[in-house]
Amino acid sequence: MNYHPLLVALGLAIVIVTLTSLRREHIRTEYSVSWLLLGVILTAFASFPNGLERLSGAFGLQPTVGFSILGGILVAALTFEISHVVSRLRDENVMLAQRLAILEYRIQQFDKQDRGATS
Amino acid sequence: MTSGLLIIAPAWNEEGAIGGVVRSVRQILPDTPILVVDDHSDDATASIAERSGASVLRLPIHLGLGGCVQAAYKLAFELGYEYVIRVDGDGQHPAEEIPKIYDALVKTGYEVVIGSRFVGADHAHTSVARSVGINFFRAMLKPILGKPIHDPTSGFVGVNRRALQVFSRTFPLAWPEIEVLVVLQRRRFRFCEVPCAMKPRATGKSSITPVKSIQYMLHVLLGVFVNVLKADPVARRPRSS
Repeated sequence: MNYHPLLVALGLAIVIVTLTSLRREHIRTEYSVSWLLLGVILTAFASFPNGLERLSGAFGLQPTVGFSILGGILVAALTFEISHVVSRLRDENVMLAQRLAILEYRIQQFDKQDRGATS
Repeated sequence: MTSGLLIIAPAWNEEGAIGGVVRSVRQILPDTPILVVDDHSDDATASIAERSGASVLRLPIHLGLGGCVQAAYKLAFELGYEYVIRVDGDGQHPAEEIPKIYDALVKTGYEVVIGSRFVGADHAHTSVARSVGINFFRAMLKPILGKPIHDPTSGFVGVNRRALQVFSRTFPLAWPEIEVLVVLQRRRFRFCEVPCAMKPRATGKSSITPVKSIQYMLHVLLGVFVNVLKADPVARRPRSS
């Protein structure tokens, strides 16, 4: 079975969905690059299987295996990037929540002092 | 007797215990401020703490123990406190033991003093599973810290201003007790343990489940490993104390 058209469609779908999400501002530009890269690489290798065959051959692999490994690497890279972003957001979230709580606390203390001074 | 000292009590859904914790601290140390850090509880923890005489730092979202304690450390540092002693909001740490930790902080000058239920205490209320975990972490931490630690999971901890400065910048967010010890070692901070009696939690249920215990072990192991990797070999050599 020739699976290349299916992979081309999948690659194009990734590119189109990513670009649409970018246009609608559902995803930020800096986090779209990996997805676009994944879509383009998938489309390119599925459209020009000779390139993938040569690349796989250089490592002594069947093209199917080479394609799976390549896909796995790209997905792993994407997942790692997402973990990185989520971790940073979590840290920032904690910091902001702490800062907000501290500011709220200090405002309340000032209010109490103020009320004490005026009464 | 306790100038420059702030007592902090992190609490999450502890409406049954927090009033008693605050009142007992105020009874033993009437002039010492107590700050309850409400980790976005669903119940009346914050209002009960306030009515009992504590100031309350209300977190807008649930941060977990580390984030909760660090928020208190940040506030204490900004307000200029010299010493902070943490007691748990569930009533396990008797207020009568706080002066022992405070005295040790002042007299030794150590950055951290840990209230230990295993040093010279008659009874240690702890489950079999927890005892196994504690023994495991004792064995693991001894070569890292360069000295034995008896109660590595104790949350009854006092810190001085030098430690406050560091902890307000960097502090483990999930389960801080054990990772903090490795952070201390990295900073060449000194710590000691003082014997403290501890009680079973006053009311409610512990949030620790068997699954969480495994998560805890794995998380702490990874945290310790990462902190050891960050350490530079010179800084890890224990200071003479």
